[in-house]
Amino acid sequence: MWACSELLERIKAGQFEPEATVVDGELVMDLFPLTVAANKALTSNAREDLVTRSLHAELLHNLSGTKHIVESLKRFGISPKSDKILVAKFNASDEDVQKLRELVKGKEVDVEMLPQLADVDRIKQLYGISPEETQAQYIVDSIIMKMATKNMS
Amino acid sequence: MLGFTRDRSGSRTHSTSPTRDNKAAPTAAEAMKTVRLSFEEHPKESLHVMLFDQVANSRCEPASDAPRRREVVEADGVGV
Repeated sequence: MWACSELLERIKAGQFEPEATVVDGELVMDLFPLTVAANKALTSNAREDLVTRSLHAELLHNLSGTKHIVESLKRFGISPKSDKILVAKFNASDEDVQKLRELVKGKEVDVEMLPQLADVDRIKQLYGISPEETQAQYIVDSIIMKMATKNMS
Repeated sequence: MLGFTRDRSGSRTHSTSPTRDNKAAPTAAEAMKTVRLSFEEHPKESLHVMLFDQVANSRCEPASDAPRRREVVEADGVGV
């Protein structure tokens, strides 16, 4: 039996303040998919067309290659075993940023470390990226394609 | 439109270019780690991104090391 700690429990209880998107850091290998997902979330929000309950949840959902909301939040949100965490907040104030730093008890590293921290095999598995695809194009392009076409099945 | 271009080497450049946020952090070292993304389509919006490694508070601990939770069933006094 395992007992999980504070951060995950806070998120599950809806007590993670200030509100932010908390992503498994091993699953984001580049800032570009995050940028695309965030842009899409902002567009949906402007059109009052969010499919999740908040802008930050929408960002997490948009990162995934599946259209199933619960599944995407589970896959890309943190798990009890996550030790690399990406935190993203829309329109954060200086105070918000400082609070988020205090909430996450980890070593803050440069965002440029994303490719080094990424678990490429897990990413390929989660997005369903085949070996043929990775031979033909850069893996981030495959990720963007999976994100963009998830509602077309 | 989000918009990005490719140069001849095939690498991507973002028109929604990340900018380093020098205001948000208390120290210069921390400031370098935070990225603020801006969006052409949504000029009033921004996204702060922070990355953490070796996060202790999301990790599971073996039950033997963690405080044990018990619900006492009064009828037979067995901890569940």
